[in-house]
Amino acid sequence: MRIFKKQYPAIAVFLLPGLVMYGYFFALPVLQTLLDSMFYWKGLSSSVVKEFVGPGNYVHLMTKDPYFWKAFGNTVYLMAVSLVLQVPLGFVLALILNSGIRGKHFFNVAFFMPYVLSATSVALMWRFLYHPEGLINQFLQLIGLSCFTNSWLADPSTNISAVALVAVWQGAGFLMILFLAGLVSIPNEILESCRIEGAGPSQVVFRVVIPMLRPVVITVVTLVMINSVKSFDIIWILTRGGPFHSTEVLTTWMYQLGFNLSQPARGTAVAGFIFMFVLLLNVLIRKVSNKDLVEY
Amino acid sequence: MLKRRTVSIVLLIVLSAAALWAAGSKEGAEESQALTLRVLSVYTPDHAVGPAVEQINQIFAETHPNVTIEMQTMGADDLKQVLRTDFDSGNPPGVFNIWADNSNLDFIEAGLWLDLSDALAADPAWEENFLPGAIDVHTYETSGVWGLPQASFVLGMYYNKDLFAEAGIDSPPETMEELYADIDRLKTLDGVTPWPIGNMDGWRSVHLFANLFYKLNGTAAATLAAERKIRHDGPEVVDTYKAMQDLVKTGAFGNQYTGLGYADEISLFNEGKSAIRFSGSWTLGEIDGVDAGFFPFPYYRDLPQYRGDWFAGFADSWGVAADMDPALEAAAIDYVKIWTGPEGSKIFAEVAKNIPAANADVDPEKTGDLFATVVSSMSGITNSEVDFATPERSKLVADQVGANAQAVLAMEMTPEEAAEKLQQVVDSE
Amino acid sequence: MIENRKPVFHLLNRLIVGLVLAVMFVVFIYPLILTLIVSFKVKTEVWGNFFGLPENLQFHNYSDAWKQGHIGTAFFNSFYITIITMSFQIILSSMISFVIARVRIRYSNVLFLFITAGVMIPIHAILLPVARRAVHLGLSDSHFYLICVYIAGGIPWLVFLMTSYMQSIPGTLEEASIIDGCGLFQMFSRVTLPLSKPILLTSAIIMFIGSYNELLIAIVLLNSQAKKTIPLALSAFVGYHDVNFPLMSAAIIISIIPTLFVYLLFQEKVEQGLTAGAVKG
Repeated sequence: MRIFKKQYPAIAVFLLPGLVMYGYFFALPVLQTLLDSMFYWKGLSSSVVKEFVGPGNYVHLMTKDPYFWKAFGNTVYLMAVSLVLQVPLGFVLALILNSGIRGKHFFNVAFFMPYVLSATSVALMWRFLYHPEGLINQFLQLIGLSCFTNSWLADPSTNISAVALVAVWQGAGFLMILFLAGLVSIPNEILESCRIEGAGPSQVVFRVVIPMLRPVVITVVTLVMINSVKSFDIIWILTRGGPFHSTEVLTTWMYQLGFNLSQPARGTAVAGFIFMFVLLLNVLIRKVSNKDLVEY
Repeated sequence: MLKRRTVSIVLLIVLSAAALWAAGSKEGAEESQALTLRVLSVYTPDHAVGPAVEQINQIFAETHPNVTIEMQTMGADDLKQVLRTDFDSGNPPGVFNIWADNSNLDFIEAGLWLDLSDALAADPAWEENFLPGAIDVHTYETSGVWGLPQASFVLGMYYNKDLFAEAGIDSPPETMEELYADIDRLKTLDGVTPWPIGNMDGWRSVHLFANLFYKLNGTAAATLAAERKIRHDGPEVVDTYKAMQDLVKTGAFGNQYTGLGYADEISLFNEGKSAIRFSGSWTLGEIDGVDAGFFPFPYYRDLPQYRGDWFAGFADSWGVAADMDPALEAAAIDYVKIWTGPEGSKIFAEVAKNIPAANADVDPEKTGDLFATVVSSMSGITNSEVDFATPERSKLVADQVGANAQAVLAMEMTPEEAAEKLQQVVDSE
Repeated sequence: MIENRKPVFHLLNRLIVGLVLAVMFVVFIYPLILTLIVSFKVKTEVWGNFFGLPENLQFHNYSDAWKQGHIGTAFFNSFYITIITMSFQIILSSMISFVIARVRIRYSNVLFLFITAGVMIPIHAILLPVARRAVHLGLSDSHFYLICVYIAGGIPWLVFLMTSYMQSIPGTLEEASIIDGCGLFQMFSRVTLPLSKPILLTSAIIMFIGSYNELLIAIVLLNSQAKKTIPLALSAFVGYHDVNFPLMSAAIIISIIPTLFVYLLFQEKVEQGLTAGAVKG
């Protein structure tokens, strides 16, 4: 679209209010944090002199920190599980809701319910389910599979998956409404003409719907990856990163370093690492999908 | 169409802006003449001490009519975070709950907390009413007093008298050997776990570790470890881990303990499904519906010299912010004085059944027999230490002590492996 | 073709789909039912027997929760904060997204990166600078400042979302409007916005829930009882070592009612799609 010189003021009006709000109240603090990550200090940051160490904090994290790599591994695992399970689930749910079944509202609310609840509520409820005397174990006993009962959140071989499952459960509804927003934008005429030409449902989905929703899919995939890397509340309330750091992720480790372990500088470095990691993921996704950041 | 859409958007913007401006200016209009003292505390309405808050605030209001108390309560985790952020951003509360911990030095060395020594010196009656050792708890090797305890506590064993009788145990065990024998007897009871421990909550295993450590090595050894005079992979620590795993192997904890939490311990005990609870005296208010008794943590028959080495000390405490307006500072000190004085301590004990850090004329009707039993058993203490990691300077080491305790109790690590890992963390500091 | 399928197969198909739906329904809604059940229990009935029904329905849990958590005030606060935040977020973000997605300006990429970089950092990391700025501006314990932070925090997300959805809109309609002589603002309000309705409403829902449930920033920025939001009020039910589940569950049930209401309201409109006031393609 061509821009006429006299449109510049209008563009400024469109951009400035949001940019100013974002810049002053959010971007500046982010910048401060990133800058701080290159300094080292002990104690309260406002009361001590910070020493410039450049990449020193990051080097320490990657070489000497006892749980950084464990946290990173868990974070990547969470991200993978979310991608593989949450995205298809959200998409399927959206398809179901868009297919004109009876009781649509009913299901809509049900599937979205987990997202409505705050992380505190979700985590507390799932603690009940995963408890040794909880529903999951009781159900297993009921159907005769009591050999599989476990302390799901305590056993290091199952707990990170158990946490990942909760994240998938809560996030599916979120993805569902994003996909729905995309689905309703597909003009009915196109779907009608496919049907008239004899395309079966799965052909319609895979050959028409998904390609049309490509930007939406990419956005959703990006969002899921970012959200899973930044995920904190659910993990913290379910397990606090434990037991013995077995479910530690980058965000919980960042929190621990900053607030419990008196390592504020290193905590800030973890934040910086998360930032760069997410940025990298974003760039990779764009490269893989061969899209410019913004495309016309 | 355009007109309607534009008009509605403009209207929305104007209304929102007006609301925002109103919200903003409302703050200004609330500048009151009276002083406001913000108290940041863990004593939420649901906390055992919760009901005492109103009474105390009432007493304060009677003598300080021009000071409003702004009570801000939340869970301990959130509180620690908010406290740090508040002080670090320059928006400190006036009075706040703290626990004795070396990390408090971050605040003290920055001059953010008030030294209460002057206030104590000015009121000898108040100062002398504290239990011995209470005032020293918040000195952290400085010359000041940076906090005052509200609660004191001892760790010990609470037991279900009926279940013990049913299992044929005449009197509670005094030595670990007797305890082992009693556990065997308790295991014969149907549907009862002798001594469940909630390993999901990290501090449970750490408390067990510390207590066993003290009975094997004495409380002084914890300080030696912190001073690096004994190694963290030495026999003292390894033997303690072995003792923990021995206990697991007796089956005392049942087979679900890795997935249970502290709340489960409470409910199992209160429902008569467990016979023993290892806990601190704060739990007196949590025991309900069971005829419960108390016995001190058993000592090793061959190590009677450590019989009086207990895991005990002071817990919830109060701190006061420095650099306040003199009138507000005086009010803050008075507030703490009420809580930790004889009157407040009495309310604290009677409402929460928690042992206060100061002497109080407690009504035994309200506090109950068990309270009295615990208090009288405290005369058997010769040495006490709080957590194993309390004298520890490095938070990373302290954290690994906790992680180890949890892993060892869950049988996920051998004693040697755990000790080695701990020493690694110690060495990397 | 569908008409050719045997009726039995058709029935079986429906049964299976129905079964799958039912299972998923239960899986998604069960925890809410559980919360409902727990909200009617007495504290001692919780840990011993989670899934059993309470002996007597403790209706008073709801009024107790209301009083103890000061939920009335929290409701009012949360509500007006969330509505204001949501409105400004949608307005500001859609304007920015419009420029990035539809108007070709030279620095779109840089701008997009700058804004969406805000999505990439966890909130804990910026807690301290945000808190400091509040004190610096003399706005501790201020709803105004909280709202500003929320608005600023939502913009990266919304711009990220809206830009990609807006890109899917065929450009023909907008070009048509230029030919008709529309200025930028008119194009925005008459063409782009109506076509973006699904994502706008969906974004509104997401932002409503986000601000409504936000705990971390609120707990640090708000000090006084009178200013509490719902998540802060819920924290009143945390005891020393455990949580008062019945009361907290009652509080949770009370608190999700507005969210459900907003959700149902907006989702209706999303599903109506582009039929209301849209330009036919």
